[in-house]
Amino acid sequence: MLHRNYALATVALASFVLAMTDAEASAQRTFVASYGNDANVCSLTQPCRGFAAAITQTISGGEVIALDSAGYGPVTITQSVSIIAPAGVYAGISTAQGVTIHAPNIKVALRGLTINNTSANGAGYGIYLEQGVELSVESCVISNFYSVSFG
Amino acid sequence: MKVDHVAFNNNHIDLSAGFGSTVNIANSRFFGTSASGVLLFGGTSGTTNIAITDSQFTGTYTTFCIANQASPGTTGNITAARVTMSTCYSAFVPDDLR
Repeated sequence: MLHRNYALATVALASFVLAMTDAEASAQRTFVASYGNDANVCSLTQPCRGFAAAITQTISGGEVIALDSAGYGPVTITQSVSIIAPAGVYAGISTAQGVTIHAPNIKVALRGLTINNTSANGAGYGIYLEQGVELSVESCVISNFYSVSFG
Repeated sequence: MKVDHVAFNNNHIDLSAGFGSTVNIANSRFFGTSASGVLLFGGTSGTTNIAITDSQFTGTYTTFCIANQASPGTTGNITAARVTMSTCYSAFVPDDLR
């Protein structure tokens, strides 16, 4: 009986650990696609739909990669990460506030993104970051915002 | 911060920097800006440095293409090399012209 209870407890613990692993960032490289779903694990075969969901599945220092052309939504970044759209892929963020970076001492790279303000008044920031962030913005298009603000 | 091959279109202020940040801008284009292309605002402390190379600014006649407006008590340095500026109200506004 004691052995049976121990086995059950072990199985329960293993299930709990697996569930926690699923819910936490676990991948060096995650993917988003027009056909993705934010309930997915953001893998190459099961991509997510938006950048925000993919970042939650990405370890610090990892990469989020757009697989095809689509809008991938605004994102708030609090960890080191690269968001990458390869050449030939349109990865849009159409919103009044594009990319917000809220954590000191992190490294962020944005490559190949098209960040466009769709609000009528042109307010908001295409990219907004706090002090202490090391940011690289490459091959992006940023349109119709109040500003991009560094520092 | 690094900005490379970025196109800024029709923003009020394309890029603003301050609070002691260092920004390197290269191979970028700033079009249709309604206020400033690159604005160094200083913030509350520190020395902010902006270096611009191989870039192009096209304003709307009301625009400062590049402006150094470091806040009192802060220092702002801007360098520009191989930069084209056109149709701006003022191409370059140094700190001491405010």
